[in-house]
Amino acid sequence: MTSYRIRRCLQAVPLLLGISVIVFALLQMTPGGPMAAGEGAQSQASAEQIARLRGRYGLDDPLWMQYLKWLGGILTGDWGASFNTGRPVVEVITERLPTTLLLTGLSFGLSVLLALVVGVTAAVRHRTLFDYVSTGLAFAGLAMPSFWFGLMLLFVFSYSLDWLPSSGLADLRFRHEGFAAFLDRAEHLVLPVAVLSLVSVASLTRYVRSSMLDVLGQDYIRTARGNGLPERTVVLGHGLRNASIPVVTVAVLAIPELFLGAVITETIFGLPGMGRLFVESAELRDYPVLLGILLIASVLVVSANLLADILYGRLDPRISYE
Amino acid sequence: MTATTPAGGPLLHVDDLVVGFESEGSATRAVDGVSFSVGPGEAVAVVGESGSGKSVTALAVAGLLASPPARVRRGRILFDGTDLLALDPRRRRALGGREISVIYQDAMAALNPSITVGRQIAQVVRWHTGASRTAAADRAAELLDLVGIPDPRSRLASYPHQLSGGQRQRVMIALALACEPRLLIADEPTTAMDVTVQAQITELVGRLRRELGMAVVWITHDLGVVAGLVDRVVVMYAGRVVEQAPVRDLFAAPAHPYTTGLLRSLPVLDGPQERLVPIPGGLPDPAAPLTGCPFEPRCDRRLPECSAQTPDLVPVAESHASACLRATPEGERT
Amino acid sequence: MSDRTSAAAPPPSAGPREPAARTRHGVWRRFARHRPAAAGLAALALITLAVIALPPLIGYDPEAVSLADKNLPPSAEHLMGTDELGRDLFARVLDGGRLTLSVAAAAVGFSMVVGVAVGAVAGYFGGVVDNLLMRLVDIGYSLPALFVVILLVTLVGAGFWPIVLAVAMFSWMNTARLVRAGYLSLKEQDFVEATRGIGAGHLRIAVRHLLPGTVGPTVVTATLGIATAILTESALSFLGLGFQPPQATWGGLLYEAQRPVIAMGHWWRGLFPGAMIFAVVLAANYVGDGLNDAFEPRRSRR
Repeated sequence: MTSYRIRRCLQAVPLLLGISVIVFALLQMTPGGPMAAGEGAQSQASAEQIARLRGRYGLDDPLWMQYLKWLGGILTGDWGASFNTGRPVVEVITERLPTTLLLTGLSFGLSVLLALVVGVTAAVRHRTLFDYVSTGLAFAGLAMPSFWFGLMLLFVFSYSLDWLPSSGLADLRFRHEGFAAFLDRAEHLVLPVAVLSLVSVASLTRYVRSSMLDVLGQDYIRTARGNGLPERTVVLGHGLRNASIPVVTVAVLAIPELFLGAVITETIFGLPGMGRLFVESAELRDYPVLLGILLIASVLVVSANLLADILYGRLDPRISYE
Repeated sequence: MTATTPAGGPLLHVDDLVVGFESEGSATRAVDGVSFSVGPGEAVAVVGESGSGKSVTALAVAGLLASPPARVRRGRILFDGTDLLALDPRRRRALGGREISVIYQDAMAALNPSITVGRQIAQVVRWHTGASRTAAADRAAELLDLVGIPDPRSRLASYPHQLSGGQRQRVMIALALACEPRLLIADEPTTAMDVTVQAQITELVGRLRRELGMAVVWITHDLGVVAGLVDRVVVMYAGRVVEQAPVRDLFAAPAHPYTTGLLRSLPVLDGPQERLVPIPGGLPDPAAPLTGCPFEPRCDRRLPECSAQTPDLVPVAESHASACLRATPEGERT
Repeated sequence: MSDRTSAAAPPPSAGPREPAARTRHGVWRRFARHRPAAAGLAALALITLAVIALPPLIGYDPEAVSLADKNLPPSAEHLMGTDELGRDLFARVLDGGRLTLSVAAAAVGFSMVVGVAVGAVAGYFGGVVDNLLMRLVDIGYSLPALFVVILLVTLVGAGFWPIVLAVAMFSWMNTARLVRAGYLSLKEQDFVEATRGIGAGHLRIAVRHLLPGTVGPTVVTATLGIATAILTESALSFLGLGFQPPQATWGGLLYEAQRPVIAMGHWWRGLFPGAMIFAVVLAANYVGDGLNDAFEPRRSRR
């Protein structure tokens, strides 16, 4: 079993290397290239200074050597400096990370919870109105652009009803303390979380329902019922327990999707997260930051896939106890 | 544990049961007026080919029919005097779960692959007796021992896929016994096995039945398997009972052409090797309405009136009844 | 590796199709019976027709500025209202629709070509070539599409072809996988041996004999690919990084609608463009679902 896990981890390495090569290639394509990325856009350099910088950045070295040096820098935390502010890219990104983590984390939790409740109920009440309606809604949710959803929600809840704020993480008018601060933060997060969760709730619900329907049709469910176990135990203890194994994999894969979705959500709601940083940097042509975030996101996708694979193997006794 | 029923009445009495299947507009009658009884501690075989309705009958008794496609249209299922069909679902489940257990053909599919066998058994024990975890685990080990699993304690932590086919079957039996049922329904449990394992399982069930005083209903298409195990046989064809008799009488003096056909198609290990004679033709279309005897098209002893008149079960000897127009107490009429 | 493209229905299963199920007549009949899919197809046809044929008919120039008519809610005269420069929104939506749909169609076209080529080569030749190409596919899946699209557009500029190519770059993988799977299974069949026996070259076999067998899943992927392409391009434009004004796709219209909707309550600015995106993506998903069932009737419908 562990040999499978080790093998999967090893498989991820060439993938990550491939990604790093592509990122490096993209870096070469940016105006100013790696040199500008290293020092920030401090233009106005004399020919002598440029020559010195070129030497310093090893830009006269063969490409593969540049790549290795760059890779080394990445692995040791030197990701260059932002064009815009001159600050290290790592710093700029980590500053924005908590917001995105908060938003994504909450959305993930909500999505999983909602998907479990609705999906299981729809499967248990197969072919009833609840089933049809929830399936229909899930299907529609997958087709709905989240930014449209966000705009409409903002119109209703922020503009018309004035129940919720339209942007930011906190009230700018005065500082709240204690519980009021918590409430304020919560108010600011309700709509963003709802918008970000839209797609993942829809797809997770479909998977949960589908997996449950599969499982509920199995013989061992009939055995459990036949042994007199109460319906709740049968559905949850036997049904959901088995159905959640494939769902866990899908849920893990939803995490990178949420990160991507955060780009849009943070933009609509003006949240200071990594996603919005990406958009801002794009507008400013701040390539070092863009590439940094791209790298993080790619690693995240690869890790999530790896984790999903490994988890599936661990959770299913038929695979883990060979 | 001995079985008790009110003053000599049967433990199970199925009375004129009719079960239909509805799907996509077509309706079929899988069970078409079946009646039989099982006394406490008695072993009865229900025999018939695939499609005869024997499994559906068994599942109906156990309350495990999937209700959207299947529907009980008529009849009563009396267990210990109580009509199971008249109970509300929860009480039915509680009663049925405790008193009636089922073992199935495919043990691998019938056991949850993600839970250890010990936990699956212990879960049932705890539900029915409220025992603590350790007590339930002990009981689970006891049950595994009872069904002949070697080293039961360490087997508690095994998953179903880690056991051999025969062991899985035994585990399934142990699971069925966990609630100390008075009636065990065995739905073709040995059909997919090789003969040695078949014999072991049949012998096990026989032993358990004697030790626990459990009634057994054994569903099969193979008369040979149950010959040494049961007291009585109920022969089904096309959803109806065509013959009922004590097992010896059935083998010695079958009173229905279908039974005769079944017996003739059994391979015999001792005695003169005769040609196996299959029964020509196939089952009637379950969706078509019934006219006359359902076996008539395939019967080699049919009379002209057999296609018009549906025979009732009539007694032909002590405890022996047959649904054939030619069967009478004096022997077959011509 | 993940084969989920963002926000579209899950991709169809791969595998050989029975010859009987592949007859064009049978497929079409099964599709027509699937009512949501048929309705979806009709809706798509209607919308496409509308964005192409209507503009000359309704007479409102999407770029006609008329400050007297600015910020009007929907009315009989302006079906979808007007924006802050008095431009008729209905005309802009139709115009935007033409742009959106052409970007999506072009992107899907490109990704189909690339996907089929990669998949066919990988599936047909197998071995090292296959391995290498599949590594490429894996990398394609691992790079987050939206980010790379944004990056590329930032690098190259927001023109029609850069955007089309950027969007296309992220949907060819599904097609490649399916086509490859189809080739892997089909090439083992006897008729391939026979064709080779009479002297047909690789190209001929790969294109004339094996390719038609992969039509089914390819069509499904293309349909779902349109949905994804629209969503990706709309997201890009919504972030202000796509086409620049006055050119605007539906996503771009939503970009312009942010302030009017949130701060001034001009709900019509956001409702209509977004509803169009929703409608087209939903219809495409239904059609894709229906096609999936039509090509593989064995799959149990839930």
